[in-house]
Amino acid sequence: MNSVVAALTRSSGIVAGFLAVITLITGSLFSGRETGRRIRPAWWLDFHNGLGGLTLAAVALHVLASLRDSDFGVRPLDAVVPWVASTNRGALAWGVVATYTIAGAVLTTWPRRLRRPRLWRTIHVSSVAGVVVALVHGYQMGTDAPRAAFRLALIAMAASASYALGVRAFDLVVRRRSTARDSQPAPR
Amino acid sequence: MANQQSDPPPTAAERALSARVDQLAQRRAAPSAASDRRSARSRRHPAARARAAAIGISLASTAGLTAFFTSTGSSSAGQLAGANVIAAPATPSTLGTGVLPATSAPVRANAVVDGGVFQNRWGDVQIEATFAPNGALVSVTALRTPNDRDKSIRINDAAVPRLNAEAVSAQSAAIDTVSGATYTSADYRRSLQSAIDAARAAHVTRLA
Repeated sequence: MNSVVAALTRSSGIVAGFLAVITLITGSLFSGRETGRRIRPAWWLDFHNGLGGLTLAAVALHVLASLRDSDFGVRPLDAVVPWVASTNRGALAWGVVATYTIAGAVLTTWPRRLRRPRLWRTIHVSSVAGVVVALVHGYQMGTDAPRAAFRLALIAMAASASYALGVRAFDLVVRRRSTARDSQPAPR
Repeated sequence: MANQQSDPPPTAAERALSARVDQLAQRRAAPSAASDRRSARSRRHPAARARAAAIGISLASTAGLTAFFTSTGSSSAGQLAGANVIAAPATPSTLGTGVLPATSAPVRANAVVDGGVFQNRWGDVQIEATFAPNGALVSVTALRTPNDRDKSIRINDAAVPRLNAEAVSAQSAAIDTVSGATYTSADYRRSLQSAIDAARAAHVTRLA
């Protein structure tokens, strides 16, 4: 029975990491207005929101399974408070931090978006860091970390996420420049 | 003069087109409740199908990976999952120069204590801990690690030295898992803890 729980911990962690990266990519491309013309922005946003909720569900499954895995010995306190675990303190802490940031991003958007846009944006953007530390957690803690396939997948995910974030950052710069240009007085 | 010529009878294509226009007009005039619900849901969740597909793919991936990991884990060993002591727990021994401080006389030699043997799905793990006369943990040696597969040997060759060094550095069994050697690390900790407990019971050390 415990072997199934251990396998579930591994598989749910891998799926959660993958979903988190896909969510990050869809969100960055949506907010960077790089969604193409065939698919409506509303569809893209709805898909991004759905993936976010699914990521949180996978993370919850991963945490519950790791608590049930008696071989590994993760205590409930280790799963909710970072840097208190007696072993694997850093690796577990990154997992806890990632869980909080992802949960924050999802729960301030669903069922209703937070009314304070600045706070919502701050929480939402912090989930980008959450995805990064989730990947660090997987690399440091993961049973599959030494596998070549795992490392290749990790590199591919990091590259894809970097591209999407680059698109978002580029769009931000362009928009700010155009806003600054528009606000300048017309030459006489 | 009035035009007496009547319009030509409509062709089949015109009749079909006219029927379709009437049908659409009726639908617009009185939309059905079902189509209303559909369009409302479609407006609220335009990506409903894609989301459902994502849920399905995630569930299938999780289940598939779980089955794969379970099968690869159990096929290679076919033993009990989880660690349990299968041999007598740690006993202080007098191997090498080890001398147990049975009396209050000052001890000038190291004490060597064998940890318990713990079994996981890949094989057995047992360590041997050496304590200095002042009770400090000076070295740890792995007596048994999983070695029935090349991969296990490769993994443990890399992991065990790190675990040994970390145990001596931490002066306790509270050491981190080495990535990729999760089961060896967990049983290494258990075996080391059993050795420390036995050494403390024999007044060799005060470590906990």
